[in-house]
Amino acid sequence: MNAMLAGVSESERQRLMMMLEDMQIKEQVTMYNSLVERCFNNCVTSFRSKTLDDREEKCITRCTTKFIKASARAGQAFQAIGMQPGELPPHRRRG
Amino acid sequence: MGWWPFGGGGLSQKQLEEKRQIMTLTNEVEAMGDMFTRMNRRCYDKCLANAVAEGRDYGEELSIDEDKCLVSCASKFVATQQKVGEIFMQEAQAAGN
Repeated sequence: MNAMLAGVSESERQRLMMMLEDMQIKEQVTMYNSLVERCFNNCVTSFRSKTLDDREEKCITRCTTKFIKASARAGQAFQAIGMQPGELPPHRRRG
Repeated sequence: MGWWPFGGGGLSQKQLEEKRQIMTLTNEVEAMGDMFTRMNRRCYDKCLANAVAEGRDYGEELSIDEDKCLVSCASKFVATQQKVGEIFMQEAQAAGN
């Protein structure tokens, strides 16, 4: 990115960095909010009490953990697209 | 050319910090609003949508059951939000190790 910004004034660089930071925050917020909504929609099915029951808590835990791992793995694969075959780290399973 | 209203040249550290603070606060408020909108939509879907569409509801006021459902739904949504946040922190710590 520094190569692309050669000759750009300091104030414009600062403005760009702020914009990028803002975009990144907004993207993370959207991801987080969507995840909460999705896990809620999939896992919470009864509305008689005010607290989550055991099944719902476990479901939400699984939903969230799976998403985080899936996101990381997909990100790896995405970054590896420009690389040679065989450079993508192998899938590591636990049991 | 510079940043209105700070004029030309780069911003000082203090001005950058201020700008960042405002940005953070704005993002937080937007995030809360977004979460609230999602909760509203889901809780309407879960508690009211079917009955209203089929004409099975009790008119313009909320029935006792609908009321209980909405209260439960909102509480559970917030609880879900907290749980997801917890797990994110755990995973972040685990990933840092």
